[in-house]
Amino acid sequence: MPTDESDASTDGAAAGDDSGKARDISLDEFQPYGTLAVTGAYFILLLVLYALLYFVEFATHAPHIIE
Amino acid sequence: MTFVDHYPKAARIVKANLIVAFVALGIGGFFGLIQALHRTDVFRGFVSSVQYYDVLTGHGVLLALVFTTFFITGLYQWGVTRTMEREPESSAFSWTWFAMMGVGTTMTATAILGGLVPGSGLSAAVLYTFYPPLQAHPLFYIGAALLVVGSWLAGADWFWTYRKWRADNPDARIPLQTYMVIFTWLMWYLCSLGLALEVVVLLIPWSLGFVEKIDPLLPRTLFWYFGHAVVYFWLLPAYFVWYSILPKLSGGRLFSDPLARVVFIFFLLLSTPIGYHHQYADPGITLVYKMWALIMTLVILLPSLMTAFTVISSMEHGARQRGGSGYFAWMGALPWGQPAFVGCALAGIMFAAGGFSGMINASLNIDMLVHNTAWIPGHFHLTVGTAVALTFMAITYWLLPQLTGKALKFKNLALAQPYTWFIGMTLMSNALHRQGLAGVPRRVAEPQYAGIDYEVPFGTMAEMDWQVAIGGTILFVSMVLFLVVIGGTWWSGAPATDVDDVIPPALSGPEHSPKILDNLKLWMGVAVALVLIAYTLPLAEMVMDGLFSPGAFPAPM
Amino acid sequence: MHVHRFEKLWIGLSLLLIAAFIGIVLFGFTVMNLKVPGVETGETVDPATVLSEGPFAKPGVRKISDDHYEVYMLAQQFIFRPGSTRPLTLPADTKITFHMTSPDVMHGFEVPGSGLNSTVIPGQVATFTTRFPEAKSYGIICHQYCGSAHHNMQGEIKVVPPSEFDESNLISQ
Repeated sequence: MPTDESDASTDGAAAGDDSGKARDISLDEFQPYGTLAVTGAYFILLLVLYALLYFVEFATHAPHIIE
Repeated sequence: MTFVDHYPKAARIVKANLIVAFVALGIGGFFGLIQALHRTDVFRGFVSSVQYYDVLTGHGVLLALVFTTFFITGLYQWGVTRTMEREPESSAFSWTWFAMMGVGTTMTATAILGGLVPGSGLSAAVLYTFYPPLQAHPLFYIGAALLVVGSWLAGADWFWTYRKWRADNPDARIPLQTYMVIFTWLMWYLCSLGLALEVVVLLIPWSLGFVEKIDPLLPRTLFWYFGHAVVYFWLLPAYFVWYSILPKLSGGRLFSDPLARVVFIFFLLLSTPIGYHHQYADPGITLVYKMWALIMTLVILLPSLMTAFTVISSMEHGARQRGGSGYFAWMGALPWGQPAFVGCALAGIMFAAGGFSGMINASLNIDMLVHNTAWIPGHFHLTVGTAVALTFMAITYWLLPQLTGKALKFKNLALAQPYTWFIGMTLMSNALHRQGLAGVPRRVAEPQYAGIDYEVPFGTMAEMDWQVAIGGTILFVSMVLFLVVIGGTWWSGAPATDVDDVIPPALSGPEHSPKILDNLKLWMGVAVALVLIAYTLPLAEMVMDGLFSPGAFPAPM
Repeated sequence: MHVHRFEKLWIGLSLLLIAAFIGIVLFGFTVMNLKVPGVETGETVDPATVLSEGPFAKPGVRKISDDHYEVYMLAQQFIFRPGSTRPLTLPADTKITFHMTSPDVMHGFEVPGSGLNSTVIPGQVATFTTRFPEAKSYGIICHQYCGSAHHNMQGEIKVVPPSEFDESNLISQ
């Protein structure tokens, strides 16, 4: 489970230092909950936007090619 | 000791390709500024509305064909050399393909730019798609053919290196970067064949006057046989960066090497046979093929959606290794102060938006709402214009020290550059999308028509025009920042003391995946079969009633 | 091959998304009658003679039946015929079939903000049928680059109530 501790922000966000590794995480330890959350949100956004664009923006703007 | 020390010959070739790419970027980018100000009627003092089309041709060709191709050959030469651990087999051969590409580019660029020089006798205001019967000077077409053939030789160079490596490593899995190069180029050979046929068999003889009339549908169909796959020719190198380097930049490791291979196989198979989705509004293409294109194009969403998961999870791995936590807060732990990381990450975010507008374009009937409107450039400035271009710019910050041995100069400008690109593109692209929904056409010098009032979904035309103009100006400034950083580093950068060019291995490596993924012949065979299914009958029909018939007269541009 | 269960879930969701999009498009195509040009296969014509022989020699509106009219329209550098020099007048709420071709270069036909959209290709006949729901004026824009005055190429469709539609200017078959 992702930890509830506040984001232990490492150094370097402003200074551009990229050696901010705190620890190693192995393949077995790594559970991409964050990715599931982000992609899940994207999935819902895509469905909603597509339906809106198709049924509202497109379908209601007659005339259309009917044949 | 970094790349330039281990592989000096390859480094020279990579650098030469990058220089051409950046010169094209500078000129093409400047043209984009002119267009953004002209079509919105903010400033029309650079060129006349007739010359606008010469500028538009230059913008499309220099950015979408020259900047892209040369950056890709440079990037891929770097990737092949470092993973095969071999210098190019023959410097003479390598410089030959570069020279061929360069000569071709010079010819085509001369024809285009000649259109802006009164009395030059040269002109090619045919736009990047050069549909006949609009006709450019023969130099335009001959140059394009040389650029494409030169790129074929580049691939042959890398296959040569790969064969030598394979002889020394008979049982090894193909290293991921070389794998991605090979699959990109297999796809490129397959799709650029259509363009080569169009240009060499039809357009060059026609532009030289050996035949007078030409059937517009056939070259247009051959162009789009090529023209959809070419966007993957641009996108796959961005994926190359996101899969093989971005995890390291994020402080982590690639989540899955095998899935990256699967994704590239998908693109080899599906990129070319879906070209008809650019012809949904065309007469002369029967509904069956439009339906085939609809289904296959929506299926090709899958490898990109898979890429989203693998790349984001690799970034998440880096973020958590850096101490990040939570469902979304982990993103704050990423290195947002690192220019190379920032550019790639922002490029990926914009790609998510561009992917959506692409899904709309792919969807057959709703495409009728947006086809050839401003929605289309709104879409592709997010995809090739950001996902690809911004990734290329960002990764240059990371590559340049390896290629020159010099430390990156003007780091503050380098960090500001991707953020400014993101802001400029947000403004410009959202306005173009909304203008497109109202029906504002693309590729038009003056989209203001007397007596035609656009019905805008929300907002006003004036506000959208200003967003395009201001966004385009910010993009131009961002591009200048990039060129200043690169130029400054190249010419006056201090020697780099500690170049971090190490990429850690993937979390899940190729050793855990079936060997069939590396079976080049199998996947190329399937790709060819799908192309034959998609294109044989329609092309045969177009050819059988006469190669140049029904023929239209040339319209010199 | 190690595929994390979350990624398997995501692949499943992606396939669902793709299926949903295909379903929506096919539903729109068949049930809502949202189509594209060229559903009926057009024959080819000769751009060199299209202005003097065949139906395009007399561009304009023809009556097929009380509820169905057809328009033979040319797109050429840089006008629509009919449509540019005088508005093309059509009855509302009636089936209208457009046949379009070009004697010179490729053009486009777009009624902005609607689903009427077609490429016009010399040698090909673009065919599509529509129904204008209300009486009003529609613009026509050429949205396929056709030369130096491309940005000046526009037209107008004036849709009138069927009772007001003047049949005296129709082209006889």
